[in-house]
Amino acid sequence: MEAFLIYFLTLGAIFSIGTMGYNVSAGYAGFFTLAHAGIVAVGAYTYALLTLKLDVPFGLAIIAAMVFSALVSALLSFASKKIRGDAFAILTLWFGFVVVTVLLNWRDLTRGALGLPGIPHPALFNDKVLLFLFCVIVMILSYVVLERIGSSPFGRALGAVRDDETAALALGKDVVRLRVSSAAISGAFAGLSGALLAVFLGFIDPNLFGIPLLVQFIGYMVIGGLGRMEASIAGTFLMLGVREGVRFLPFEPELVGALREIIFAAILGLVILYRPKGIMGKVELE
Amino acid sequence: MDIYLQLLWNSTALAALFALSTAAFSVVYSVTRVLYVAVGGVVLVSGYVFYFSLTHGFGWLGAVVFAVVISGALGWILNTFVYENLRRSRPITGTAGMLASVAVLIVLQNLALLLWSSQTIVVHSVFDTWSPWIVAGVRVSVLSVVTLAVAAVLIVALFLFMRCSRTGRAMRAVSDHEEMAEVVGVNTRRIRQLTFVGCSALAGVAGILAALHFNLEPSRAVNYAIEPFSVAVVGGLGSVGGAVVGAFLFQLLSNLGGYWFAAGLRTLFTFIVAFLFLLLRPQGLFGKKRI
Repeated sequence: MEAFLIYFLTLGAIFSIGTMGYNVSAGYAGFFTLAHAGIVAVGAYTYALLTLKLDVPFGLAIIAAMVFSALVSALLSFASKKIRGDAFAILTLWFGFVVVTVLLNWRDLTRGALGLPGIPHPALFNDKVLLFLFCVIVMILSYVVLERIGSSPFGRALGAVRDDETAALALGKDVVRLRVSSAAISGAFAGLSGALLAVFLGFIDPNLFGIPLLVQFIGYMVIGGLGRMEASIAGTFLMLGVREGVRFLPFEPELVGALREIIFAAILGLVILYRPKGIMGKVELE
Repeated sequence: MDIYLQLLWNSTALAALFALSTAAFSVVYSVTRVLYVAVGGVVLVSGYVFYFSLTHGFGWLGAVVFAVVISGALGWILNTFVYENLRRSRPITGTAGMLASVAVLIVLQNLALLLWSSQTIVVHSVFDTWSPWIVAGVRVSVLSVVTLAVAAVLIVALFLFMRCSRTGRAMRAVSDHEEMAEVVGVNTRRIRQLTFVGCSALAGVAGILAALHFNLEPSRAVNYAIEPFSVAVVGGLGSVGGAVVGAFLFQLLSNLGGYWFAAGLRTLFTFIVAFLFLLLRPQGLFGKKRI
């Protein structure tokens, strides 16, 4: 039981970081993409490949994962200058597919569907409790940083773009640049979350980062609430709790898998319909 | 050369199938402004309903009718309980509408998993027993001809319905300007309801054809959702002609990609070409230019 609790809390902290990152672009800037799981994959694979193939030290690999994910995310969001609205939504969904397909087919580098086993981590983290503490500390640090960004002049400019794009434009704000910056920050924390996930699991394969993970992140963020970081942490832990809780229901394993997704998606749907601010969000889901 | 003719024919047959679900997606979008991503779930469920009524002694015609009726009913349920509900509190065009659709898609997909398990079901039909024709070196299966014929008839019927019938005119009026249509006495709520039921039934037909072409598998729901969405965006959201041409181009690209590179890379190739195309023409092939 104790092992399960540590597992649950560590995973919750790691996912919280990713959810908070998602909330920067979608919540602060009102800039919604469907590429988040793909960006998390970029972070996870960057960390795994750097440590496995090049023996890059832990800290450096984490930072590299963040930087690279931020770059990819910013580049993708740059397409929103030209392609907007529903077309941009499907475009970001394609991006997720492209990432998974590339990881599946670039077998020399990623071993394809076989995945990458034995991802290294510092000897310190052989103790699961220490890894858990580390993840929680990183989560709190991320929270502080992102909360400060939210209340900074830059964060308020993002809010202006979200609330009224035309007005922000009229006040001389560079809307595209603000969106791209929000996507870059979002991507950095998605990458951090992915890298920590690789450290925690020790094994990753491309199919971990498909549509199901994307729906998970959407659920955590929307159910928690948009525009506020503590909402993302609350949403992640609550809904991860629901997902893991279904495990203890007396059903066969295959039924549990399906039931868990149904309950999760049903709660997401109900929150969208009847509580657009989620548990404790600042802005409504439009 | 023969191989290219074969690819061309294969693309045409599958394009006909996806043109149906895309037309459903696109008409729903143009009339109600809902991104009907949940259509993938309807396509999937229809296939399963068809298969199980067939194996439980409904007969061919009975199974087809039953699956189409269930699909239409699903459309009615989704519109009444999800989209009309959402419409009361917020503009339907926003992210909320799309995410609600995604949630419904996941529920339908896993409902299928719960009811019928993840086991792949191969649907045998009478078409499999007839040997294919060879026309100019191209292998033409009976099923592909049937698919093309069914899709062509239905799409032409849809087109004529939208153009000539009173209800079709009302649908176009709602699509052009909802408030104005309401002012001149169109019951917009009823039109939306009809659109959802009709288009879901259309998606149901696509689901039956898809069950015959591919196998039944719950995980296909996501593909059945993404394909119409992608095709509709590239063809121009809301245009039936765009759905047909877009579906053909998508299938052709995907088949060429699969032939030139590797089978695993076909979607990658399609998406990259579609992305480059959207950069040049963000509104899609036949889409209206944004103001």
